[in-house]
Amino acid sequence: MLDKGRITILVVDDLEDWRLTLRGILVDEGYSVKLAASKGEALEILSGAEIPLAILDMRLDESDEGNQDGLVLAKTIKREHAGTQVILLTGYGTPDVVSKAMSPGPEGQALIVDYLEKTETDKLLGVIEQTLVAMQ
Amino acid sequence: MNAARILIIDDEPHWIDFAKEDLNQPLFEIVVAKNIAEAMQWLDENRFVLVIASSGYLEELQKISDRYKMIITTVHPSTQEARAAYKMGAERYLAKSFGSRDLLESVQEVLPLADS
Repeated sequence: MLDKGRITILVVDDLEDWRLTLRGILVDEGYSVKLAASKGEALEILSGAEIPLAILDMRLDESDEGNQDGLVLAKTIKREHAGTQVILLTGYGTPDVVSKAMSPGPEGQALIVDYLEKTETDKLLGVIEQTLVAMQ
Repeated sequence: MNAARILIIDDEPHWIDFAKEDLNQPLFEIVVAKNIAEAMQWLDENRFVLVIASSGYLEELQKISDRYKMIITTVHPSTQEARAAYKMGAERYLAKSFGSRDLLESVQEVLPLADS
């Protein structure tokens, strides 16, 4: 059984509406939530708190169509915060992006544990719970 | 050194021909199954180091996904199917791209001891 109140989830999205929407969904479910609008903010939060799960948007600069900062951040998290699992939640995914993020690397681990599109937020709580249970 | 035995599960003759040609290396032994029943028989009776299967067999492959390294191939890549393939434990999810070396490169990444 998950003690959700003791679990902090980091939400990283450059769009404030999305950050607040996701915070609402997660807080209603009982989780504690931290919000970040950029890679830098996210890394600062991660270095100061124990966070088992981060939900990242892929594009962290809406003005740049090719932006994949979420994937860059996922790489940094994997390298520097191995205890934090990442779910990618994006409106701009492609099969190539999923492959980059979910294919196992040379050490066998993928950058992210799961992938969802922003049209699938109804599945988010289920995916979070599965991920956290698997981590226990 | 024994060749690395690889099972291709697919029913598209052109892709099978391409894959066999692309993987025509002394270190690989390629076996083809044209349906899942044929594939299961090969897997029951022989040792394989890798399965390269069409995404049409994803559901059936769930049963054996913890026993084999897998590359899933598809004509119509999608994010949902890519996610399903990786959640199943696939090593790679590839578009069936005739003429590219993606398949060989992926096999070499997944089987790092197999030199070309």
